[in-house]
Amino acid sequence: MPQNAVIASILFTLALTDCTNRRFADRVVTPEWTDFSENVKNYTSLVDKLEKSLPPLPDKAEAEQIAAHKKALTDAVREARKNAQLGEIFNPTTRERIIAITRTEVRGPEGKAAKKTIAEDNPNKPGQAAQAPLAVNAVYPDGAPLSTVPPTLLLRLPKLPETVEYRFVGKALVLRDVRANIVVDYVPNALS
Amino acid sequence: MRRTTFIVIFLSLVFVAFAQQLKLPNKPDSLHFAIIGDTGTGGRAEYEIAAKVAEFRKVFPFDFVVMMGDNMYGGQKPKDYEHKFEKPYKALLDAGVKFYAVLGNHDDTNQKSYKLFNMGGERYFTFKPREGVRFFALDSNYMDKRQLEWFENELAQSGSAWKIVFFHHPIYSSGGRHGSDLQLRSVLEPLFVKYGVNVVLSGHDHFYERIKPQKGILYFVVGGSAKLREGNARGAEFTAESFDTDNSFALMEIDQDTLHFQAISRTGQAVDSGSYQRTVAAKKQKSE
Repeated sequence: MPQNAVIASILFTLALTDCTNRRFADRVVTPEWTDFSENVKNYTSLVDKLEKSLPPLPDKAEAEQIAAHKKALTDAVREARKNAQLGEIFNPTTRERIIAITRTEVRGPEGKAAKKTIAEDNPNKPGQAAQAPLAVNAVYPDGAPLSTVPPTLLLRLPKLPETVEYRFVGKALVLRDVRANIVVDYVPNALS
Repeated sequence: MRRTTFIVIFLSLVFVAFAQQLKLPNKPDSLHFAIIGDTGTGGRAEYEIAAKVAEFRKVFPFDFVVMMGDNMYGGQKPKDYEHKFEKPYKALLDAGVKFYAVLGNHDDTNQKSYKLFNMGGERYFTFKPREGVRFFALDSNYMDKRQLEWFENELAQSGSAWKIVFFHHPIYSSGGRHGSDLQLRSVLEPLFVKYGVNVVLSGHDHFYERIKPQKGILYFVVGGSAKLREGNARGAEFTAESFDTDNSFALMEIDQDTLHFQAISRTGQAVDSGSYQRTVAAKKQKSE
């Protein structure tokens, strides 16, 4: 066998070995969208500032402290963003990108598991009464379940700070504020 | 005098009755703990299970309880914390038993700051109840890159012989309502295998199920400690044992390289029991 062929064969084997050793999470490229990250940062900075004006919530809090802190923060954020509009965080470009990613994730037989995960605890299932309002600045109700976002999809969406998260409400992908428990913004019909 | 004798005899009989139902070795120097899941209804079944857990602690003294999520259904106001957790588990809380919770799909994320859930303000965390045993608590509702990186880092750093992971959504379950979360399995199982996780505990499906070891890892679903989905454990090729005709909880004991387990019904019947030996691969790891 010529020397080049031997080298190529070794490299191919090494590449194959590397592929099989790598986990799914390592094989997925998590995108970074500057404009979106900037919008998210502006929002979380606002909430950070508002939270600093409240009595701090300790890591080992009483139930009353949790409830009081949450209510005060929710009220403050809603007041500060009373004129917030759909698309403030998810601008048209981001919206298109997100729609493309989520629809790919749930498409065809390969997307069956992701689709099932999203549907299971979705608060607004088709044919059933909606449990969560889909509106910017709306409070996400305590009694409504939180849809599980497939980890395979989360790896394909831009990373978020710990204080906000992606969730599904019906077909929409929502940006939910974890601390204030409100809908910050959403992408309508992200699923179809 | 007669009354005292009667009380002593009665208490002895109660003790013997429970001791008979206990299938665990109950060695004084082994690690004892309890598992409850999907508890937060505030309903009768939750209170009855809580009372049974407390009764068993009299003969099987455990120091902590791990909660599989859905700690609070519906409202999450202070009175809900009281009715759905503090009251039913009062006897255990008063006795100084610690609870470690994870978040389920019905839980407000702010529960992470609730002092009696011992989450330290984090959605995911670890704790080491004794040398050589480490628990990893995950938020399976939201398994993002940040959490996966944290988890892998913690696993890589941990030299504990026993690595026990718990989170809400089961990656192996024969539940007709939910079943195995394949998405979660695709990202978590490779880490479990790579870093020698021994045992995985979950809830979400409202019954008890023990899974035959998968790639050397033992899985349990303990999701029927308040809610119950009768007849929903359909059984799969991976099912070792299941129980879905009444509410249940589980007790576990780690004695060196062996984990002993027992699942117990609301009426106190042992519905499953057995033991599991750590695999050779996991044993090779140096103890912390």
